[in-house]
Amino acid sequence: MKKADVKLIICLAAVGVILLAVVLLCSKTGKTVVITQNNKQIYSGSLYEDKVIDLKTNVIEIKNGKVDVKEAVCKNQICVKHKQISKKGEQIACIPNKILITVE
Amino acid sequence: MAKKVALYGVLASVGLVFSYVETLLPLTFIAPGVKIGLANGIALLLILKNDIKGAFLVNIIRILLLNLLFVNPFSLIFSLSAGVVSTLVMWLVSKTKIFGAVGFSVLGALTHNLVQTVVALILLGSGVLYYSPFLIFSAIISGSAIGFLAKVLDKKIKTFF
Repeated sequence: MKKADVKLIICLAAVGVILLAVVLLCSKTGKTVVITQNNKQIYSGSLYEDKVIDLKTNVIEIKNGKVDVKEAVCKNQICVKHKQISKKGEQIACIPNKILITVE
Repeated sequence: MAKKVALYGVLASVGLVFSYVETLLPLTFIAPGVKIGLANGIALLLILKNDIKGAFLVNIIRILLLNLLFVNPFSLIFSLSAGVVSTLVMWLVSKTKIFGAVGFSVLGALTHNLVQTVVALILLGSGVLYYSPFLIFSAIISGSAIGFLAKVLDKKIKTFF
């Protein structure tokens, strides 16, 4: 490994830590759940009202202030495997169905 | 010529298998799109051997086949744009001779994640920026690992023919 490589890694790690600090400081517990499809808002509601939203392509569950995707018709199931979200700015994306779930 | 075609075919196949193995190892709980980037090691090896055309060809063939075979075609936009730009960056960085294999592997991984973030930004909106620190960390870790691996391979494989 060259010296420049080590410097590069240290610099990048520093940038990462700073960004992480910014993200963590800015992330407060959210209030509303917003779901968009094709960049158009299709749902908006409270995070603290337990609910199951069936979008045909995806089944989204809001429970105890947390949002989770329970089912999806796509092959890779990335949104289903994604952890529950509750903080402001956190998102779950379902790329194949162009669905984006955001806590605001 | 025939030898080169055969070589690229073999390397693209190896890359395809690496890509498939990666889909079995889901790291997406860290942030969407996070992976080790094993297959990129092949392109990296070709760049280390000064075969930039080969690196491009092998990466593009691999990404096209991978998306046709295993992944949703929609993700092709993500993988192809990121694959092409990151290979380009790795090649340019290797030209400058400032960094070693690990350095341009990390920069390649970083570009890959950056391009995917930008594409996601266009397709999904600004919320995706939340993941940027995790994508930087994953680029450092997986990039150095793959860079190291490619360097070892480069030393072991003196020449392809």
